Amino acid sequence: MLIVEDVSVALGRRPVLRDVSLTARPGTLTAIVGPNGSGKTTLMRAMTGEVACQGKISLNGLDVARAKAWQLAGIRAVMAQETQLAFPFTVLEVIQLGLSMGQHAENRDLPQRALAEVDLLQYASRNYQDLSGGERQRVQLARALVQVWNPVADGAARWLFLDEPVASLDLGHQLQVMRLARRFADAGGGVIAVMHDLNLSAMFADRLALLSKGSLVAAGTPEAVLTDAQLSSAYGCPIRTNALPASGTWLLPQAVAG
Amino acid sequence: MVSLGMVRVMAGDDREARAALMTKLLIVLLLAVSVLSLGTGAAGLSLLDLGDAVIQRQLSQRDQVILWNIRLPRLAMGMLIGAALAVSGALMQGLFRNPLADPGIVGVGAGAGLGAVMAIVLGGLLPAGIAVHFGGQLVPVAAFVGGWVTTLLLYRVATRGGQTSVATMLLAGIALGALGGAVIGVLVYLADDRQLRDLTFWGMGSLAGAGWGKIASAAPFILPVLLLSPLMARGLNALALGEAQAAHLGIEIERLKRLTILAVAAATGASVAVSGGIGFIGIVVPHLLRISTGPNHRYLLINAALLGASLLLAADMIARTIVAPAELPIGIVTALLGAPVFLWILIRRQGLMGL
Repeated sequence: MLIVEDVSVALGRRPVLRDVSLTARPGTLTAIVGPNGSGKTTLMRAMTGEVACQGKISLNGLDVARAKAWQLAGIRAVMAQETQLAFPFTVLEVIQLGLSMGQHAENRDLPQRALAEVDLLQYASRNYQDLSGGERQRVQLARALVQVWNPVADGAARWLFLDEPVASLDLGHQLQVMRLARRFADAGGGVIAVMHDLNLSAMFADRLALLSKGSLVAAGTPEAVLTDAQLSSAYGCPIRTNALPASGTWLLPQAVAG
Repeated sequence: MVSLGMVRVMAGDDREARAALMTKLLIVLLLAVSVLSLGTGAAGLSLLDLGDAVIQRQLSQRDQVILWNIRLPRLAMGMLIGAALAVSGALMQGLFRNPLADPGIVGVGAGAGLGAVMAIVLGGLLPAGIAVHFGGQLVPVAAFVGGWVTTLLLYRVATRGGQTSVATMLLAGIALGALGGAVIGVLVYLADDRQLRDLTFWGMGSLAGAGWGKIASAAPFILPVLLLSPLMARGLNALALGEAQAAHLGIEIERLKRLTILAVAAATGASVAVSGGIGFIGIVVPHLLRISTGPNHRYLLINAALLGASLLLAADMIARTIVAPAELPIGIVTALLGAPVFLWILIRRQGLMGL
């Protein structure tokens, strides 16, 4: 269980997040959406313990602000928007970083299995620094997957925090990555993803959290959050949503003239 | 579909196997260079003499003195210093996430030198009790403190939010080096004749005057770093992803940084205290190893110690023989060989540096 209670974050004097409260259950995929600068990534960083915040955040009952790095690393993996590498590690070596000490001996083939999941098996010996942005993102996802390979371990859910996991991916790989995240949630794990693409969010997420100007303006099912009024107000332009006839949950937000 | 086994052979495991093989080769190299080094020197005691001695189990009184009091301490000190310089280079590069970070280049050597010079020139001013308490360790302790303060300063200046700016790091290094050099200059000006003799070799670095006493004062700082640095390998590997990501992987970042800075300061400080500023080993050795067997610190740190020891012994042999019977300061040899390699690294990295 992820519980975010009255969380505020200020960078310098500028408030970036104001009194955000949110809960996410294991077995669900929560997408955090909102326009640029609405505080999505800051909220993600607060939830992973990367930035200090006012308020309280707990993950599986662990106070994120006070927990040790190794305690958090045991229950959640984080994939950042972009990861630059300082040295020419190979793809496989990067993914092996996701293995913890104990895992290393018993699960030597985990990195290969994770690579296969993101369709990069033949890239194992390539230099990470030579990859394209999208390929790097998939490598980082594989590394995160290795860290929390079993969605439920020791009776507790494990969590994936993904910051714009599909931002630099082509259509096919966007779907592939979202399906991976969906499967992780269906198997009992928790997924929190910062998303730009409202359609993909509507397709794959159980719950959406809509941020605007640092505040949570709507949270709930895609149908409840992706309404014309709420989207238009949050994104600052008139938006109309259309449900596809074939599926009740697939919404196509359209900017309309005027 | 490529089979998993094939990938394993082609990829990381292959590099791991190569790195492990490299360790064995470097051990052999170090042994070979050590034997050569024992047979090289101004006094006429050659490898052949030593070979005879091993077979006949006897050595003249004079040769015994040469072997035990000159050649062996020189060998031990060369190994110790070479390993210390290479490992502190590799550690610092891991900490700064940059292959150009080297204690000699970014001013840590100068800071350690300043500490050592202060101890030599101003040590006499200390209350007798303190001086006696430190005994022969005063100079290495002061060098360690000097190196530690400089590394801390450098890290504070060059690193913001877990990212190190290469330009700031190198420029801050120049400033810190100049500052250290200036204060050393003042102290040299103040020094008396005896102290001046102690100081002269700092400029270039030298293994001349190696003795068991110096080894005994440097080893307590260097050996723990050499033995414990492999424990930092996982953390330094993760740090390559950036501080935040390394923390998400469960690394206690602050502890890792503190330990690494202490280790760099201890190894650099002790090296500078007994042998002056010997440059470029710390940058050339890890770079060569990263090219051949990759940046994985689990192998890099061990292999750097072995290759650093071998290279410094080789440089020392050149220093001792090229102008025999006189001797060139070894710092000149390592600079002549190392500076071009440094330039080569810069050229290769052009465009990646963001300078």
